[in-house]
Formats: sequence, C-alpha cells, structure tokens
Amino acid sequence: MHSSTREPLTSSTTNILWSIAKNDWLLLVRDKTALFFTLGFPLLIAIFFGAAFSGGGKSALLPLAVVDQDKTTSSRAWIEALEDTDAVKITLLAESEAREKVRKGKMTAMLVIPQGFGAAREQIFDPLVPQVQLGVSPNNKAAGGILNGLLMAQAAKDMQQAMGDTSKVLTETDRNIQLLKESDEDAPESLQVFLDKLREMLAALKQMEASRALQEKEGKEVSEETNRFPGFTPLIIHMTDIQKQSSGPQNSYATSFPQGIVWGILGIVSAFSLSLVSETRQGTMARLLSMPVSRRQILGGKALGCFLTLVTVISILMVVGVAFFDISIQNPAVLLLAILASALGFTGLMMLLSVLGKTEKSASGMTWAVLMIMAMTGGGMIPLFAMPRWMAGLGQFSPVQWTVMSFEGALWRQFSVAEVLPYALMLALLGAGGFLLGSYLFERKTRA
Amino acid sequence: MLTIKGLRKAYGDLLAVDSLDLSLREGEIFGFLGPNGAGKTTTIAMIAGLMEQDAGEIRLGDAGASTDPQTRLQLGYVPQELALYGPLTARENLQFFGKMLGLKSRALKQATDEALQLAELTDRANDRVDTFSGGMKRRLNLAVAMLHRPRLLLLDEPTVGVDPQSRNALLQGILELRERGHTIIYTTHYMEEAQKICDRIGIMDHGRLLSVGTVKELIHAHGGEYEIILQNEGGDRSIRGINPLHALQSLDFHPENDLLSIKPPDLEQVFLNLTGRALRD
Repeated sequence: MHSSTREPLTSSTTNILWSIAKNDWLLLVRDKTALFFTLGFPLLIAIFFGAAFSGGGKSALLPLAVVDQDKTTSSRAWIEALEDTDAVKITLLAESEAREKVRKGKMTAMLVIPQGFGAAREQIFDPLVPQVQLGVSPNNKAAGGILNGLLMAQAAKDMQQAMGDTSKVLTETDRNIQLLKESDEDAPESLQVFLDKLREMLAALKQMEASRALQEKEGKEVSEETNRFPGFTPLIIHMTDIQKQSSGPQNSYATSFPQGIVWGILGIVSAFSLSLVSETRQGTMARLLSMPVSRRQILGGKALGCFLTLVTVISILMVVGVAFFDISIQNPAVLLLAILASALGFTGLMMLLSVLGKTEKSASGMTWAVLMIMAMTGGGMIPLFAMPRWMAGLGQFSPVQWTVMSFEGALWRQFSVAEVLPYALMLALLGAGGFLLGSYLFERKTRA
Repeated sequence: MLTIKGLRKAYGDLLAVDSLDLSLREGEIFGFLGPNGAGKTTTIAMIAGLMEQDAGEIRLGDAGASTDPQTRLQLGYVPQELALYGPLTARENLQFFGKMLGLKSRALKQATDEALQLAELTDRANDRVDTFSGGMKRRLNLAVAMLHRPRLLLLDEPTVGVDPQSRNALLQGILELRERGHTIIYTTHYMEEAQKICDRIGIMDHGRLLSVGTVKELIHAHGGEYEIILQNEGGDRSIRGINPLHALQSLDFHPENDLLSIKPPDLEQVFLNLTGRALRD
C-alpha cells in the first residue's frame, strides 16, 4: 500500500443506493429471527387462518341482514334476543337492499320476518307456528346450516321461556278456553286438538330438560341441540337461494393471504425501521457520513432496500398462495398496483418511524405500537365486519386497511384499476410524505 | 495539510469548541488530548464532515472544505465505536465500505486484500465479524478507513478496550502509515501512547486548544519540576526543582549507602498542569 489516494473514486448514486440496499438485505437475511418474522411468520398466519376457516366451521359473528316485515314488539324482541346470542351481527334492512347485500357478498345471509310472526310467537298453543324466510347463497351451505340451527335453537329457547312463564301460559289457556266456548265446532274435538298440542309440547320440554340435566351432571357445556324441542317444530324456516355474484373469495386462503401479506409488511417495516438507529449506535452511520455519500443517498439506499424486500416477500407469498392454496388472481394489473403501492406506502412509513426513535428500544417500541394500532383498526387482526363500529370507522384511515382492500380487490373483490386507485394513491401519498418528512428529520438530526 | 481557523460549535448554551485554530503538517501524527467533554470528538466530527460548525473554516489542503463529499475522499475516519456490521464477514464489510468510497471491480478487490493484510486478517476474511475478538475488530475498524488510502486519517481513540498485543500491533500499524506519508490525527486518553507515537500534541479543554507542540516542547513549557528521590536507611526524601543539577548539589548523597532516582516531568504532568486535577464526568 502506498500513500497516494486510490484512483478512480467516483460512484454514481445508483451504485450507492444499490449497495446500501444490498447491504441491508444481506443483514436481514443473516438475522434468522428477523427473516422468520418477515417471511416465515406471515406465511404461517396465511396458512393457519386459511385452514382454520376453510372447514365451514362456526364463525364468530355472521353478518345477517334482517328484514322485519312484522314490525311488532314481539318481532323486535325476537331480533334482539337473536343478536344477544353473540353469533350474528344483525343489520336491519329493507328486503331489496338485504338481497343485494347478500348477492354482493357483503352480508352472509338474509332473514325475512313476515307479517304475523309476532302473533304466532305469542300464541303458544296455537297450531300456527311462527315462520321465517332465510336467504343464503347456495355456495355457502356452511353458513346456511349454522344459521338454521341458530334460529331453531333460538325459537326453542323462546318457547321454553314462554312455557316457564305461568302468567303467560294461564293467559293463553284462558284465551283458548274462551275460543273453545265461542267456537261452533264440537268442543271435544277442538279440546282434543288443544290437549294433544299441549301434551306434545310438555313431553318435548320434559325430554329437553332431562337432556340438559344429564349434560350438566357430566360437566359438559349444554349444546345447541339440547335447546331444541325433539319431535316438535317451534319455527318453520323457508330456505331460499340467493345467487351470489362471483365476487366472493374463492376460498378462505383468498382472505387469509392478504392478512398474511400485512403481517409480512409489518415485520419488514419493523426490521428496517431499527436499521438507522442501529447504524447510529454502532458507529457505521458516522462512518458512512464521513464518506462521499450524502444523507439522502443513505436514506434512499435504505428505502430501496425496504421497498425491494417488501416487493420480494409479497411476491413470494402470492406465488405460494397461487401455487399451493388455489388462490386465483382476478386482475393482474390491480395486483401489481397493490404490490407497488403497499411497498411504497410502508417504505415511507418506515423512513418516518426510523428517524423518530432515539434508541433501538424506543424505536422498536414506537414502531410496534404504531403498526399494531394500524393492524388492529385496519383488519390485520380482526376481520372488519367483527369490529365495533367505532373501530371499523377508524380503520378507514389505516394503511393496513388500504393494503388489505387493494389485495382483496385483486384476488376476489374484482376491483378495476379505477376502483383500486384511491387506495393505491393514499398508500403512495403515505410513502412520499413519510420519505420527505423522514429525510427532513434525518438531516436535522444528523447535522446537529 | 489541514488548516482550521476560528472553529466554533455550541450545543445550546454549551460551547463545545471555541475559536479553535490549528494547522497540520503533511505526514505528521498529531495527538489530540483532553479530558472527557473537552471538545475533541466534536472537533474530529467537524473535520470529518459529520456535523457543521457554527463558525470558522476547515480546509484540507487544496481539496476544499470537508463538508464537500469529494473532499471527504481525502480523509479516512475511524470512530470510537467499532463501526462494523457484525453479521457480515470481514471481506463483506470492506467491500461495502469500499463501494461507498467509489471503488469498483479490480480496484475494490485490491483495496480489500490490502486492508485485510493491514489488519492481519487475511486468514479470517470470510468469517463473520461478530465472531472476532476485540483486538481483531479494532484492527479491521482501522483497515476500513484505509481502503482508499486517504491523505488524512482521523483516529478517535482507536485502542480502547484492546489487549496489549493488539494495542502494540495497532500502534505499529499507525507508525507505518506515517512512514507511507499519511497525516494522522489521533485522540486518546493514554498518555504513554501519545508520547510514543505523536509528533506533535494539542491539549484541549473546555473547547479551547490550550497548548500545541512536540512532547519535548510541552514538557519544557508546562511539565513543571523534576523530582529527585533519595532513598536510604533514614527513609525516602524527595526534592522538586526546575533544574535537577542544582537540586543534586544540595543533597548529602553517599553512593555506598543511598539510592538516587530522578523522575523527569512527563506528558501526564503536562496534561494535569494544564487541565487541572478536578474530576470530570
């Protein structure tokens, strides 16, 4: 080595950006834990939730459109009781609107409560049984089955409560006796019908209570089946098919993979946002700044590294989804836009978060707090339909929701480019804003 | 080679560097000494272009101000911290920083090989840095700054936390760099290191450069008195004086029974005389 400065020493911005990006990528790959949380964990999330919801199992809260044509106190009470089961999320709608929502897949099913339902429900010894109409997509047999069982159990419980209410039974008995007296028919024959009906109900009730006592004695949870009257129908359900538009998800993986992508994005943002603080702590930032490299080039290189990692991980997840989990891409242009926009948006967010933390601990804590709030409100953890209304409202401002909507738009919502554009634009704005603000703060911080 | 005029930097009310003037000669090792918080690291950071001064000028020969990225090619900076990527190998670290310096293909490979030789790490080139000992990391830390053969090398406490063997190797390496014509600014808390390798030393405190000169000049100017110690059966006797010959004449010295030692003032004495003995936090 001799003392003259080595020549030539010129480096283009592209080379610098690419070298920094490659270096960050190498550091990520060498960190097995970070690598797991950026690729392995999201894949597990996507597969786990996809598998969990693919068996037609009982879902936590089924969105149910209810059309109350009866509009009586009794029908309203029944609807409230149904909502209290915590199995459905009820929205009261007009019939046409309800049908449209089910058709578009925004609601799982439609329940029509016809006129006369309340009266039939109140008259417990009447041969007239309450009737409802349940409309579901023929493709969604699982939801149809769940709702059928739920409605039956609810009607049985309703009947059981009515039978336990002595004043109600007495009133109904008096009313029936009065009807018998006023009837032109032969009393014994009408009485026979009444008594047969009463016996049938009491026998069913007795059998139901015996089953319940046995289950409680064995320490088992009382099943829904036990709440049904055997051999007696407390509710007649007319099933109707509502042909759903083909915009629904092909399978549960079509909804779990966008969620998996979100977790991948969060892992990458978290890993990269620590990079600047780590570089400052370990002195490599000072070393870089002493070299003929500008602050913008350093930030640009880190942004490029994050962007390329995001694009790579999202693409790998999509390839795995298509190859092994039967996901089909409805619109490749929308998917491309979704990938680029989400990568851009979260790269900008990463830039901003990375310059706000002073130590690795504070940067890590703050990054996860921000990302968790976004994930919670944006549908990254809980499906949007299952959220409290206020939280779902907040989700509209979450980049996680914009991302989920963009990917769902490409996979099953059949978004056109114009439809996905608002989400993509918001993500792009987030990216640009985050990068500019991050650059400004970084300049201020490192020049002080 | 390096000219600093009226350099000033404040952090709020705290004046970290105050009206600093300094001129470095080509090929010398200049030692920067000072207690904690004296302003050494801030001065080095401004020379390296890491932060902007509030006032004053720093010029690297004809190359211009160090805030200009191209001028920074003339200098190599070794931070106090081990500024390396632990998960990467020694070669990967050198290649990355080499690329940041604009080195490409054959020049990059040559520079990397030379740096590995300088750090005596050729046989560990492909091992991850986080498996290295403290001394190996320090040597690599220095080698990274030498990749582009800078004219001026800024070493901020480069021997902190290393064993005597590694320290000796580092100091030998630094002396060799001077032989090759590199100019070096060296900050340290180890007086014996500074005394051993520095051609000139500047002592700094409270942001001001208190004195500059060769070790001999500083000792003459600020070292204070010689200490003459006479040991015999009657106990130890210590006499201090500017002129040791004068002091010796006043002693009742019996060579057959007494032991006599003369302790000249050293750099530590100079440092304490200039910066005081009060503790610095």
